Amino acid sequence: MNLQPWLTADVVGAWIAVFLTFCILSFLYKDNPFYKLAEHLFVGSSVGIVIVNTYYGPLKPNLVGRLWDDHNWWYIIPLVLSLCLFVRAASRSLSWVGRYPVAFVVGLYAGINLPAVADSNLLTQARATASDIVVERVDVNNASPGKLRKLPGFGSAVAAKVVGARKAIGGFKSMGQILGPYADGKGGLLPQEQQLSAPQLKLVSYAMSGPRGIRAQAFLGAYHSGSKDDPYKPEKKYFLFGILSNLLMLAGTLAALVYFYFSVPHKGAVGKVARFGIWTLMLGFGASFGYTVQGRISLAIGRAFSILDKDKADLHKNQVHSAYVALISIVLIVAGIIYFERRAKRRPPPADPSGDGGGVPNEELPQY
Amino acid sequence: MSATPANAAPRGIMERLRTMDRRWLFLCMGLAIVLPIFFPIGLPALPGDATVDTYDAVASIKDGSRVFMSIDFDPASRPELEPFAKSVLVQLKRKRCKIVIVSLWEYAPPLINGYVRSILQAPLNPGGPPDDPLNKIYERKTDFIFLGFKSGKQAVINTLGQSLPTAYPTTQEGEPVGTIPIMEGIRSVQDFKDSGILILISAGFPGAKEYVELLSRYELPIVVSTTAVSRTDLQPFYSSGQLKGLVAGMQGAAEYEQLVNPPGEQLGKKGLDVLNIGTLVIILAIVLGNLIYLAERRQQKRAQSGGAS
Repeated sequence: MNLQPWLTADVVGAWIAVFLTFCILSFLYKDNPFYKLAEHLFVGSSVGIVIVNTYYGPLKPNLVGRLWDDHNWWYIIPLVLSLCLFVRAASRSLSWVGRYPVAFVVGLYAGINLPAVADSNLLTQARATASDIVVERVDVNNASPGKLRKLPGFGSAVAAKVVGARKAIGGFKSMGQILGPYADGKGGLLPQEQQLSAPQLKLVSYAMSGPRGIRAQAFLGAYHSGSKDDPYKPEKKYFLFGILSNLLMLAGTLAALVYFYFSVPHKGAVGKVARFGIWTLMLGFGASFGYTVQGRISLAIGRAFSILDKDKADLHKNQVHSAYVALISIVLIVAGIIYFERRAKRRPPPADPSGDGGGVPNEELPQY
Repeated sequence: MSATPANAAPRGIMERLRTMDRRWLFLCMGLAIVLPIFFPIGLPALPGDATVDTYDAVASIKDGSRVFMSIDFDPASRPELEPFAKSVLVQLKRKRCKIVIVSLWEYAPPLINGYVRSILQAPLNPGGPPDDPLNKIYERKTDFIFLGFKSGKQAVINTLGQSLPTAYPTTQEGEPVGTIPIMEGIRSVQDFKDSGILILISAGFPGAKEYVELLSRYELPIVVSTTAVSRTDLQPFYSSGQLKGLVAGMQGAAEYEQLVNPPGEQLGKKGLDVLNIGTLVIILAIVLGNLIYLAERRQQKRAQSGGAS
């Protein structure tokens, strides 16, 4: 392999990463020395990085530098407070000294967080939940681009193009016409440069149908040019799925709050509402679980991409050859595990201190 | 994986599945992840409303605006967040935006330096015209600046809202922030309100949630890319309008990649097949587990009623 000096560290790093990935994955077979090696390396290097970052991040510029370089002696106070945190390790009877810096930190962060959280998490969220339950359908022939943006699949680019198209043809006559200008990709009602990109077209096309699709959320009113002679009186039509959705959101929020209200026994009507609250919470937990699973699968995908060199630039890819490193790593780890298992089997079982012959069989508890 | 004794009673399929070695499941999961990489199916990724809103929010800023980015993730979250990070940097480069980057995660700077080298300081359309914005080599301090990692979590975010030079008196190279051309006239993140947008790429704490909590009082236009796990935490902020856009997980990143269509390999799109098939395997495993549980319970009930009669 032709290594370029500036890439050498990167290349060796990538090899180590592949080997350590398989060391960690070997735990799926069973606990073994390779897994332990990777685990200890991870813990050790993490602690090392944290120590270096903590010193050069907050400590050196904010404390050490100000004391030693600037001779600002007021900074002895935070130094003493910091040292107080370690008293607990030296003396149990003096551990109370550590409570003062902890109290300072708790007070500081409570002060920063309380007003902010009350505003953003409580007041704004309550305001958003208590918004208008009624949802009106959008008049595609007369709505502003801002209102059109609320339709599924309508980004501002799509909204601008729809406004341009309806002006050019004097209003849409059918919903299918909204897609019409873009459908064949050859111009139609709009000039070529105003065509939507393939993903945008697919998105709008997909969003046309379904209970919360464009056909359900929008309607075609009589087109008005917007001039003084042609005044527009908005026609009201309601989007039933949206209203149902808002009602469900409100009911779910209130029911979940009732579930956490323990001053009244959860019996009768209150019990039923609280039960609905539990269902709402369960739906939330289910969504969280689903997203967590997706996150974990993404981690595995990331490692697979890395091992197959999919995430590297061509130059780097030709130097690393992760697939070969992966094969060598697998062979090494498998051979190592076989060796360690054989060695563990040869070793006599540990003496039973109770003398009753009980204890864990040697096969189930490998003694590496 | 032990052999069944010859005299043992024959076991039903449910019993076999119940006592199955869980390593078979690991193998299935491994195959579900590796096979679609070699044999892609090309499952569709239609951008959701939250992703389209994010794209729109970034697309609607004026060309040449100054943009604030906080990149707060570590290598563990790379597969979920990197496709968005790269796509949004390409989108900003197409708009000739100037970018101020900070980080609250200590493992993020090496990743950020990589994106700077491979996207901002590299020609992305080598065969194209020289005036193509994608071919512009961004100059440090005039076109972009990475101010570095800063520890202090919420305290830093709170300070960024009041005074950026207090939170970051110097760059990571030690240059005073006030002397950097791109930072001229910037006193706090509030100054990005009119000129651009705040883009947060966040894998957890401290990250987007803390930014929203501490900076929402300034009514700043914020878009977020986050991990799938954090979506349920941040969705209420998007629904209430505190966030202009939300891109979550690998799915969201793949959708964003489709909208931006950045040059080069699109890992989000590639990962989507794998993600869908992996999720399918998990769903099947959960359904199977429940079926086994129900069958077992039925068997127990039968045994109880048989014993009672």
